[in-house]
Amino acid sequence: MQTIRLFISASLLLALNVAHAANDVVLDAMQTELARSKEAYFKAKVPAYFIAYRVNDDERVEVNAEFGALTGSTTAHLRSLNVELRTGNYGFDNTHPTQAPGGMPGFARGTTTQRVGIDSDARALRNEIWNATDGTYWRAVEELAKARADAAVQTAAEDKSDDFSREPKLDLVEPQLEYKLDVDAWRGKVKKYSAPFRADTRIYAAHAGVSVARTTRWMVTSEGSRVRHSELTWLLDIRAETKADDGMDLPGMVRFVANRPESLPDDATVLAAVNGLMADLKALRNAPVVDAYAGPAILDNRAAGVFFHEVIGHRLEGHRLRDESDAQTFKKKLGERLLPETISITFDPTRKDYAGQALMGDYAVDDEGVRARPVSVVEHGVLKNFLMSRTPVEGFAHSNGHGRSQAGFRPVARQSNMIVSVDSTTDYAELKRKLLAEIAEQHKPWGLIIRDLDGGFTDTRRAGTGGAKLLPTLVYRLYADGHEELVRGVDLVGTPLTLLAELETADTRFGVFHGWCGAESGFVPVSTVAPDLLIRRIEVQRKPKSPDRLPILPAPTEETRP
Amino acid sequence: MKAWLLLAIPLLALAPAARADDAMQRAMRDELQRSLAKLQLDGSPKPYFVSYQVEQLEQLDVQASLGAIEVAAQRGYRIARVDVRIGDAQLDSSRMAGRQPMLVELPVEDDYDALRRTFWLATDQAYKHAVEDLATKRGVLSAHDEQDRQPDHVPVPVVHLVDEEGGSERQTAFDRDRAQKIARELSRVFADFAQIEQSQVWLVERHRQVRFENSEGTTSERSVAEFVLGAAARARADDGLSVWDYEQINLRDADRLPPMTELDARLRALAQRVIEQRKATRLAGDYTGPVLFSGNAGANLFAGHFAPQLWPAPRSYSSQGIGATTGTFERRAGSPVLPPGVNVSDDPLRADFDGHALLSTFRVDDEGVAAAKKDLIVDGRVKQVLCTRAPVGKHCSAGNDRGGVALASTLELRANQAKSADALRADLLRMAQEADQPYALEVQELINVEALQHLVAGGGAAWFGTGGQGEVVLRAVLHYRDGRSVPVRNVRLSGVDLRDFRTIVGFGDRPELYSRPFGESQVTFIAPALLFEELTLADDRSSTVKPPLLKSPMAK
Repeated sequence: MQTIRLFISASLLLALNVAHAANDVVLDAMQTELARSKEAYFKAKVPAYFIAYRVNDDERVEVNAEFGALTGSTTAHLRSLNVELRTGNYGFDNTHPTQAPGGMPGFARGTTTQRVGIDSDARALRNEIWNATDGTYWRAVEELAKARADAAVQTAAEDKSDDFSREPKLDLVEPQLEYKLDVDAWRGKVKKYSAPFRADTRIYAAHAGVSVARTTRWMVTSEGSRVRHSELTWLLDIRAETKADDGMDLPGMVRFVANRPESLPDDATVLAAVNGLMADLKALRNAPVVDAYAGPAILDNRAAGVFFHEVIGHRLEGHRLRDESDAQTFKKKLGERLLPETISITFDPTRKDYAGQALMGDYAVDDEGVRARPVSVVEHGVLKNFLMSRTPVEGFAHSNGHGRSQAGFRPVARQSNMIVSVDSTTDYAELKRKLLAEIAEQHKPWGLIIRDLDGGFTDTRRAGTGGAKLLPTLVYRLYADGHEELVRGVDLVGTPLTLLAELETADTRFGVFHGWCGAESGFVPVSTVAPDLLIRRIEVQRKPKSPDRLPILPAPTEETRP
Repeated sequence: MKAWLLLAIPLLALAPAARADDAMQRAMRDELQRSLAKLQLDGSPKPYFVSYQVEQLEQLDVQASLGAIEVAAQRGYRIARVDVRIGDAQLDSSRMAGRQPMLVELPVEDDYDALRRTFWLATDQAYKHAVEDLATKRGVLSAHDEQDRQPDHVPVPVVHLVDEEGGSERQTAFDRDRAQKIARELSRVFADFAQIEQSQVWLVERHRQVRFENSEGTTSERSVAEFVLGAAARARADDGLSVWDYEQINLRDADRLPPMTELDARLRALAQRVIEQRKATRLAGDYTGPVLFSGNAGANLFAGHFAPQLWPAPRSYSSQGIGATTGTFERRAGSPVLPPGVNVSDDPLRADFDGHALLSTFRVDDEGVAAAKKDLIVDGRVKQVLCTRAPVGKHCSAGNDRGGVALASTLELRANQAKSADALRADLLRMAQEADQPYALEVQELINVEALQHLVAGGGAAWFGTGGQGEVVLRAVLHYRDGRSVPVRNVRLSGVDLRDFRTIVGFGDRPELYSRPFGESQVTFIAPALLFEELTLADDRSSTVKPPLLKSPMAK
């Protein structure tokens, strides 16, 4: 899966305690079974050389309402086991990438995932691990034979890096985080937050939901690593949708993220956001539709964050750079200027917040047992580094702590917290003046300001378009006389090198965007911190339009109104 | 169980509200009446029929393995299915291929305004679809001949019916702790058997309430409670192939569960059966000859390979033309499909079998039609098939809508000439002898893999070893002519044909029960042992997995 989509969401509130486990039954069971497995599979006729056991425990509680009435609320608790087993050696193993038609990609090999008990019962867990390990081993034996045969008959790979990096072992056992969601209190709140939408009968969907998710991850490897850490994410999500007279669906969303409940906004703040969203939707219904356009634009900071995530971020994920079906846009551009000299980019999974706002892409240790660390990828506009998992690429033999995955997937290099910094004193007013100057220089009647968006996606395949797409929800036209007009119905499209070449400058007003990023190793939480951006030339195209008309009958409340 | 048929006369009048302030009923009725009176696009007709079916479900799922809970999840939702038809009962907008039913999630609270808003928007969408669909359907029918065209929507009596099978007053306060305790304790049983590689106990407690209201004046309300407790265990023979077996109990509620000592004993017996099965022999090659399906294997075979012909889906329409029905029996009224003297009936009103409550019971179906017992096959010949208000051929009757499609409830096969188990085995051996076969084959247990996967969630293909679909033989025995009986394993059915059922030469005298879900609906099959003149079974060679390198950590 190489089409990458960024979903936006926010996380929510609660109380957390810290529980120190003297004995960790899960870790002990994993280690006991690992010791047995090493004895058997490292000495087998086709020996394994690496085994990792990961257990992911995911708990989620959510409470939802629509138009002031409760809809379903759910409590889910699942625990999964992922077994990674490699045959061969660090240089060439069963995950070796090949171009065999119909073959499994390397990232999908050498791994098994299955559900295990949520009770920490050593005997049951060991039995599950034993079952899964044996199946994974026999598949890895087959995969290695196939990879060797493919390598023998195919042209030599451009990148002759090892298949797996050697990393120091890590012993990190963090306390488990505790949480408590006051379901009754939140039932009242989500009803209160979604009730105002009843007043606008042209709003056809209105949702308010709160959730808390706790993920606890255990990992042991045959190299001696032993890890336990947990994460809590609180999310308050307000969504609504209206429809223009021409049938265009117009969604809007407000999200709040927190890593503890006290950090969630109070009622007044949420209700103000609800009123703001209602006003935006009402205005959007009456906004004119924009046709295809190419010209100057400002991307407000949240949109700029998604721009960097899609246009640059995914193309810096190391494992793609040895995948010969990938466009490998930046592989040969190390040391070259990609961005204006004033802009630098760091991925920092050790950073927990920015200006008081919680970030979602933080972790202490990645999903391959490598300690998290900040990675400076672009310094003063020059490409310096890639995001690395334990899949090496030419010139980058080691991980820099960005091997990440959703439960059940084998980790690959993924983004974390993207922090865009800028050496600038420009403020937003100045940025707008610069946009007006660009409008005049390009003899355009107007430019665009993208204030907010739903997310975006990009296609990094050679066989694909190589393009990125951003999905704005709030777009304004800025006319030469300085007045703004809300418009609707366009998506931003473009290819990375062209878009980056048009990047003019940034200001000093930063914003945070939170999302779940989907790619080969599933969905992982990320955040971006970015300033407002001025781009000399962007291209927008019309959004898809729903063929459905407005409702034929008025809303029931309108009909009964005197 | 309480069931009251309050009114059953053709009458286009609405019943009084069942409750003092029933926000749901008011919301349904108000929007239904408004839609019928006013919902109209320029140039298109108003609806001639509108119905709302509201399903409220609360379900607790618990799964455990070796004493550890794997899943403990409770879910609840309220969903409305909205049906809006334009045209008339002879030719309406229904049954366009690819058109999904209009399903919308409703608030779980009885908030009149919020409910009404949801009905308003869903009805609007459904009406617009109906306008498109009727135009397309008329176009299709103008270009294609449809032989034996039936009306699209047959008239049925108006009913006002409250069916409290399982009790509408029953609240959905599941005892989650108790359910987990039961699952933990029972799943721990398998820890005593080192040769069992994988095991699971599952427990499903469900309360489902369905309310229905249509523009003809029918109102109905039905509540059903279900409790399912099951277990499966898998072991591996020395050649690496998996053998497994299962147990399942279907009840109305957890209070009727047998004592834990009895359940414990049943699971230990299950584990022993699986372990014994490891030692069974394998077929040297394909077996073609007489086969006896004993125990509930007969009911299972009947369920998988014959019964679906009794609920064919009607024709659908698309711009490519007119689709076919899914069955053949609807065109074969009067034709023989089973041996003479064999009868098949469907009885949704049947509440129990041999003292056990049936989960397939209902008094009113999902489109508000009163349920009734129907004879489907009489003396081996097709009399009629089951259908919804959309008829399939001339020989079918409504009252069988379950989740939007026709489906049986409690289907029973009975034979006038029945024999004891011993007599059937004697016949089996005699037939083998006449065919010069060294042995004859008896299938004692079958399972439909998809049905079990529905329950053994998370087990997936690992359970079934062969990754099989359809029916898998779990236990079978070879009866040699010298009197020996030898268990055989990893056997699969090979191409059972509908016509094979006409060659059944013997029927047992003891009806056996098999129950399985189709979507959210349980169907019960009751049939005796069946002796076939000739079928083919084969050794299952689809899996050649090697035995594990390591012994199980459970091994002493």
